[in-house]
Amino acid sequence: MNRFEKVISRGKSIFDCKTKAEAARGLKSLRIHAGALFLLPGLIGFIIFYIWPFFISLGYAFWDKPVNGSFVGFKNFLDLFQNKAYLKGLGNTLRFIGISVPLNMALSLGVAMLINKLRRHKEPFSLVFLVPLVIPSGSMVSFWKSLFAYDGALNGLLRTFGIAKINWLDSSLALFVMVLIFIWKNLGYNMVLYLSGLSSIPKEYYEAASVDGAKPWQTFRHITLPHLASTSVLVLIMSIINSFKVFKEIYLITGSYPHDSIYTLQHFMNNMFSSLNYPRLTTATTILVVIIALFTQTLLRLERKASE
Amino acid sequence: MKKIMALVLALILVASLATCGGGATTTGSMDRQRTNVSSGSTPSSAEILLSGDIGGEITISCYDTMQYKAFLEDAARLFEEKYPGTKVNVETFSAMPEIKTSEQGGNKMTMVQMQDDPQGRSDYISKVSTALMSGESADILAMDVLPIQKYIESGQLENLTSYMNTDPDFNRNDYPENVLNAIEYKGGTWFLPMDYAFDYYAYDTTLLPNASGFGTGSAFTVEQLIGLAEDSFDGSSKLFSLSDYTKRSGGMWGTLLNENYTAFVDLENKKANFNDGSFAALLESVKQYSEQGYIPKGATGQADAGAMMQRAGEEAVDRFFFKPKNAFNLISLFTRNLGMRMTIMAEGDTMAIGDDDEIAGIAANADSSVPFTYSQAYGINSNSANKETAWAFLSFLLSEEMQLNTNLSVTALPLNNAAREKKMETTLTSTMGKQGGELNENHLEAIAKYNEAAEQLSGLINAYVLEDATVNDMISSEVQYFFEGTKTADEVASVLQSKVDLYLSE
Repeated sequence: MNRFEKVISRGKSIFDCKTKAEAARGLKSLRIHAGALFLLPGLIGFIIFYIWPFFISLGYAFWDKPVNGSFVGFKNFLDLFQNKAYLKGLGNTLRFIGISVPLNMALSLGVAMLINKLRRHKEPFSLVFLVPLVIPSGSMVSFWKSLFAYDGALNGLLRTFGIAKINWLDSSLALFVMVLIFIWKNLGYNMVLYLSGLSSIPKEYYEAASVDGAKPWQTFRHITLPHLASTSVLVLIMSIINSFKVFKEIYLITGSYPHDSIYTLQHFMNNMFSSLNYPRLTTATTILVVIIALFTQTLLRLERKASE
Repeated sequence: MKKIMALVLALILVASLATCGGGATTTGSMDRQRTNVSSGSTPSSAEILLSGDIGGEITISCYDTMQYKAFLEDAARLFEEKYPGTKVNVETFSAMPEIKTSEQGGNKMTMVQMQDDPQGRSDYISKVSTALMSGESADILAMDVLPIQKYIESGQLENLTSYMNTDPDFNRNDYPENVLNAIEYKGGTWFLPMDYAFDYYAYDTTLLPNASGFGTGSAFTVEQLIGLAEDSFDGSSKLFSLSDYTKRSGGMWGTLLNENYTAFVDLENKKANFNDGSFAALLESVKQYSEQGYIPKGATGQADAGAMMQRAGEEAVDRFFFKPKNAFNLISLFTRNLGMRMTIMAEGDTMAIGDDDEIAGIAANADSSVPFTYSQAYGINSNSANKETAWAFLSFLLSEEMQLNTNLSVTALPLNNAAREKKMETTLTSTMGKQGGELNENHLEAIAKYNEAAEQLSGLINAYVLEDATVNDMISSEVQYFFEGTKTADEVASVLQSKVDLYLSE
């Protein structure tokens, strides 16, 4: 009897139960197995296309060459932490996340609260912030390029005011261009999450606070923020994941070797792939996966504690 | 997620234990083999390899479908005849050039037009790189467009030093030692050129009658020549000419950059040096030469050969102080007074050596090194399953027989000493044969002079500059802003320092 037949026979056996408790146990068991069945196709795909390749690539991290290589233990990991470009990419990525994610969260919360207060025309305002999500990155690249190029529109505007041209993309200001593009792209997404979080806060709390004479800041601090804790954790995780996705736009605008202030881990990994250094690429990927896994676990644990 | 994490940690633990226990050993689980000579092979391992029989099938991959392909197909046929039981496949990638034929005055003319195809080159490099990473690449790789330095660094190319030293059929004395030494990189020989070429300068003897220090034993940089000639320059005469062996297209800037390349980009030690003011000064000097009328206006930036040719046709080029010449080669220099119509052509030959031109010296780099380039070179894939046959084929390409093959470059000098001595004679005999004549005493005298000059100039070679295409692209695109006037030289230098430094540190 295969597993499917066992599940079916278990389902049939529920009708033979003599007590309610026995039937409930049988139903629970059936639910678990049916759930597993429905999950199976997705799980197989996930294993084949994500887990298995990850473990295959993990192997490369311990060899000096992908073909006919020698086992080198942790040498690739030690070398990586002495690699100037990797450390720069790691530092820039953390710096970018450190600036863009809190800024994006604060702005999206602010916009969500403003829209939430509107009594009319909520939808058109929400839509304005959601439009960047549906515009393909490629079509926006020429716009960003022409805006921030040395002879671009922004410098043209500055010149009309008598201000000298600024090298937006080839100076340390490039980081702010990157932050701007990230916020433009992701503000709407976070705003929607916050709008849904705000709508779940009972209005009675605000009414009670108003009756007690609470000021807006007190209301925000003691009612809105605590009730948005779980939403904020979700927004934080999604923002960090999305912060890695901004690479696409930056790569299309500035190429493989941008100004060193916006050289991120993805640039490093992309360039390692191009230069055939698979061991170093997979070593960097492994470290990134471990960091993200630990970070996500910590955040989810904090979220559980906060909601308790 | 927890389970995955646990598995990852467990795997790392297993890996660390394996490191402690077995050291750098191989395991069968990943299908790795250690039977082949690795990139840092020792003479003993080469001996083991070379003791095997020459046989089986090998594949050679090259981008070029013209010269490389024709030469390799000839070589493959002759090699298969020499070693029965071998099979040599030649794989090429680039599109065939456009061939047009027309008739003018009863003469049939054939024009071969090759289009530059950056995307095609990039696709070929991706194809070879992917094949190398999967262990499925060709046994021999032509170094025509491939990123040599990257392949050496990542261990994709076999170190040929031990083969050269161990193979009893390969005699280093048959080849110029200075050229073989010049191609060594990080203590190894990773590819072998089939020939070599160098740039040299010529001067107009009527304009510089009292010139001294010029000749086949001298070496000059462009800036040294400009310094020497500034007093004689009357603003209307061309004093110096530059040969175009090495395809240093790009006018004055391209030439100056080549001369100073190693000062700005140290690939071996992975260092960039654009910030000490010398790069900015070099850029400014090119602009200055243009303003002083030393070089054509607008010829400062990097341009392709086609654009250079078009400009040369449009402008009165003789006005200029310095001008690169196409098809300006040693053979035409020594045959210009023989009254024969030479058919040696290179890259749309329109300008030949002048009657009053004489050799000033070989082109040197700013660090006094004398570089060379090649028309064809090959390396062996370090993961080739048939290295002994691959090496046998490579050394066959360097035999006198193959080195005199007409599909090898007409203007470059064969690496094989015996072939080099005979090349001029073979070329002239062929030319005379086509014109229904025979070599006379004047021809033989020209051949002797040519050989003497070629050997003297060749003897000065002591460097091969490995360039990086990515770095060159970075320089090319940034420098463009300077010549367009949108960035200052210091701004360009600063951006390049940041980008190249980052690239080299990866």
